[in-house]
Amino acid sequence: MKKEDKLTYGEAMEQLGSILERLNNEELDIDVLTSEVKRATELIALCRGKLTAAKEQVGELFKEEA
Amino acid sequence: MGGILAHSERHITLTELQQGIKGTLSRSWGALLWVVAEINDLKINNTGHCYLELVDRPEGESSPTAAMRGIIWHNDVDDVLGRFEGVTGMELDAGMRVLMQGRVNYHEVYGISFYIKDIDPTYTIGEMRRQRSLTVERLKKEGLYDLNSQVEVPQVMQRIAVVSSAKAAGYRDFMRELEANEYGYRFDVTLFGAVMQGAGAEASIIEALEAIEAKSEMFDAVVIIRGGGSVTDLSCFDGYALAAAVAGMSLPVIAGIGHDKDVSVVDMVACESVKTPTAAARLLIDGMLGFDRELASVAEFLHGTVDDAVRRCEGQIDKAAHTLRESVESAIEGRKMLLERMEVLLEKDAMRYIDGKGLELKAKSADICLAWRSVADRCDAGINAAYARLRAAVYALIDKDERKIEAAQSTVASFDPARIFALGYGMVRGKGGVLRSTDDTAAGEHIEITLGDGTIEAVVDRITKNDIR
Repeated sequence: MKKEDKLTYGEAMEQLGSILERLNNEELDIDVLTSEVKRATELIALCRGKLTAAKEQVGELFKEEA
Repeated sequence: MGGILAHSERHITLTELQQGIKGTLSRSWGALLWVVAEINDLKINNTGHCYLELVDRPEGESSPTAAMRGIIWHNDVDDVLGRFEGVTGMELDAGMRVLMQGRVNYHEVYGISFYIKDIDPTYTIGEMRRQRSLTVERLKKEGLYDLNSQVEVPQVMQRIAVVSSAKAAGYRDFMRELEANEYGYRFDVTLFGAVMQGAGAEASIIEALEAIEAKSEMFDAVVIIRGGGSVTDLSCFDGYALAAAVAGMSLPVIAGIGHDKDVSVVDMVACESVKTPTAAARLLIDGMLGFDRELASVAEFLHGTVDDAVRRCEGQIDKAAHTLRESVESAIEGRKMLLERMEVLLEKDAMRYIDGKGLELKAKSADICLAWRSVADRCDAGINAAYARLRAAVYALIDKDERKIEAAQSTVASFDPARIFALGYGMVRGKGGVLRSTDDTAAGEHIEITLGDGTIEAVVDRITKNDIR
């Protein structure tokens, strides 16, 4: 998990994109699928977290400016 | 040779010659005679005889045209000289012209002499008067006579040059009188010593006068004081040279020669003439006293006048001060009013000016304000718009990613085996892998059914195909 934390939002989104592509286009083995879904869920959580943080920050900024 | 012999036989002795001359003279000039001559020199020797050098000298000449020795014998000296002095008031002396009675005497050893038996004093007096009047005439002719009288006499004569003999009684009298004056005036007396009588007197006095003239600025007046004594010999004060010297002095000359009878020529030409040295001192003291009194009266007059003047001036000053104050006050008042008026005018002017400028300024500032506001408005609008755009863009970006993430989540969720299994789906694998069609297996074959919580191994019993195909 340590390694994932160091991912940037862009890298995480990219990885998530490639996982989604594989899910959509490839017939995956159940084991692989499980691990891919698990990985994708983690990436989603990471991205959501970062995005939520960014949103809050942006909200702060705009609030100050207003 | 014979000649000499002849001469020697005819000679006479010097005694015979002198006796011959004496006899001849005695016969021709033996009588008593009255002779007029000038005494060139006179001395009485220790035997008491009086020897005179008699000369005839034309007026103004120094060389005599005739000369002879005169003798007054001892027996006659007192008689002759005493009478002369008694009448003329003068000692018989050199320089005098005298009328003598006597006789010619010829002495074989001493030669010719005139034995004087008597001298007529009246002749000498007359002769001196004549001489004196000639001198006076000459002084007048030469313009010297009044010269010293015209010298300005200072009222106060304090620095006095005295011509006298230091030992003279007259000088002592003069000094005593000056120093003892009852007013306590002080005089500054400088003595110029001179011989005041006798043959050398005239030259000596002239010398003293010349010495004084050389520093005339140091003195106010010259006082000539005769030596004094019982005999009054004034003859030198009648001489032309001395009279001319006195007349020519630039300082006033006071003659204090001292005499009872006649006035000397020096007395005539001197600025002031008094009878005694004491009188000369009085003259100086009186001059000072007069001035002192004049000063006192002037002071008194001044005092009164000054008092009056001061009072008058005080009145005038008071009046002037009053007038001045009034005029100054009114002038100040006038100025003040003028200033106030000017102040008002100035204020009005200034206000008008300021108002004008203010209006201008206001208009300008309104312009600037408007311009600024429009600029600011424009800027504000731009910024606001940009800001809104930025905001919108940022939120859009976030929204987009949110939606992306939502989509990804639902996609991922749809692939989640746990969910699929929970829905009741299972995965079936045959010998060729995951079965996606009934065609992928056949009855009797072994298959594995994977569910969420495990795997079921089964054998295909029968296959029924759906009609939808």
